[in-house]
Amino acid sequence: MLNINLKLKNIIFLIYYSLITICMTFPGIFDLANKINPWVFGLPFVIFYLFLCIALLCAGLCIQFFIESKLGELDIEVTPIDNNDVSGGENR
Amino acid sequence: MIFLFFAVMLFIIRKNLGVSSFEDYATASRSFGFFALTFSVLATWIVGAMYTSWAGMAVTYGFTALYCIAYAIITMIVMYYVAPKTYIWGAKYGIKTQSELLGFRYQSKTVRMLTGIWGIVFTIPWLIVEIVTQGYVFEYASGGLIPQFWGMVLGIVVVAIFVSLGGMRSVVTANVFQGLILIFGGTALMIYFIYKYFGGFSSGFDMVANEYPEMLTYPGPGWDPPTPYWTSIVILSGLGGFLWPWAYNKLFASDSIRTIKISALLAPIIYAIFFSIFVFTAIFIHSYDQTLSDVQGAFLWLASESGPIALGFLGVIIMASSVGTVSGIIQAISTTVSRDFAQVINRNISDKRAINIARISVIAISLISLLIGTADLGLMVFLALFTYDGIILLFPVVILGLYWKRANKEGAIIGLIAGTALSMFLRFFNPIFIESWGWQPGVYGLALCFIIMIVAGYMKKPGVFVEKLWQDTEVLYTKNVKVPTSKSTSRVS
Repeated sequence: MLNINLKLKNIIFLIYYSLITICMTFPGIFDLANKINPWVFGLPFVIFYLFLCIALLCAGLCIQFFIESKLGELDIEVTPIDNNDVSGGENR
Repeated sequence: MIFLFFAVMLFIIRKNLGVSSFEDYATASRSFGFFALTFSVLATWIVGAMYTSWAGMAVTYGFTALYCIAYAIITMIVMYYVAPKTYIWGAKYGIKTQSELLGFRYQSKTVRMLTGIWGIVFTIPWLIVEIVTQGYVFEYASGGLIPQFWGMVLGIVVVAIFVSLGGMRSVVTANVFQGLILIFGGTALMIYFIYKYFGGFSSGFDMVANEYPEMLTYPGPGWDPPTPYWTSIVILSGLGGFLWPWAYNKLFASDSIRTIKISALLAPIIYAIFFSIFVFTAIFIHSYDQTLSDVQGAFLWLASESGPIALGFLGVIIMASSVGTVSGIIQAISTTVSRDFAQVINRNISDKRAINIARISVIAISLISLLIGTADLGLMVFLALFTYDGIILLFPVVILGLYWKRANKEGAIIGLIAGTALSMFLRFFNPIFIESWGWQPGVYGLALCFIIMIVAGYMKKPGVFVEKLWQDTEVLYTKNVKVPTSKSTSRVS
């Protein structure tokens, strides 16, 4: 159950990042934004559009970070295994 | 000023010149916090050639060079997603390199050595380009007093000394110093250029919009690649950008998952501000006819026009960028040689001998790089630009390995080899559809590798080892993570 919830959270954010990335790069959508006018905040439209996509991706990362911080996902304590033979873990 | 930079850097890292174990050499005993990790990733990632090769692209094509900030954020999302299991498995099982992690996950020495070879082969061109850049800067900044070859020797000797003596700890410590200089110094210098020569951002953009409007949109003047070219370079660089062993291995030096994820949040923001101002400066510089005859030397020319202090300062910034990358690369390669080759071939290598092998590797790599660096640089730049077509093939191996239980070694090996072969074939034979459709060779290789790995994954069930690994990881999460329950939800409401 725990794993499913965490997986779902990761998938939702991944879909969000993918959608923004598609808007930022894919033919068709990017082509619509690839123009100088109108100027926004003193920037040509396509540069503003690129910054907007990056800002949305950063915002997504911040929200995901905040959620994970609340869940305790960022502070997982790991106890190293002493046995050196396990290091690297491969069948030898 | 460049010598002063080297002196200060060595002074700062003097206490780190000595490693107690191979673990310390490879991972600095997993001790670094977010500040160190952020600037270390940036210093390793931002190459000195940015002010030469990338400057050439930005001065010539304008907006297209901003693909770097678009891919940077995708790279950091990749870093964000690979962080948890990389950190957990690394800390729990004593894993020290990217190849070791993959060998461990797939239970395969072949995967381990193959990914190690991939990491080294596709990294070497970058190393050479950076060493040559160091020589070029020494020669330019000294007015020819220090020839390029001896500049290269000086740069590589300093790096070889502190990497071999201090390992990851000295590399990361030096990276923080380099990162601060190149980010803040680089941004300040670009802003100085913009206000001195173009009257500020607003008037600079007005001038470009009136005289060279095509510089402000994709693809820029003088060429006409279709939009999928833009898609390809952003996606390939974004997905592959964090898979360089010199970037990925920094994860093993961090002290927690939180540290890595804070770095993944900070690095793209800092990088976007820094690189945008760099590209804006390059777009404005396009208006100078002198720079168009030598676009790669455009920034150095502008700095020399601004006086010796500006030129010296730019030299220091380029050197900081270059030394950061070179030290990261050499440390990663030497660790891979010792850990993923020597210690796989002979399991009984002692800790002390492992460090010595790594140190000898540092010297060997430095000498080989110097030798190749005196040969044809044009070829190296050509190869460096296409290395993403190769390194991107590690993406399915890493991401499916970390997130998909069914991913297996057969799929990883066949996918890696077949995908790279397709990618390289298309790159070097360059069939007509590559240019006309715009999708770059790495995209086809990446798709093939994914298909092979997924098909192979469904052909057999996950092994006992993988089932247990997933189970153990879930137990760790269960102990630490608090998922809101229906009971607590109802209490709140």
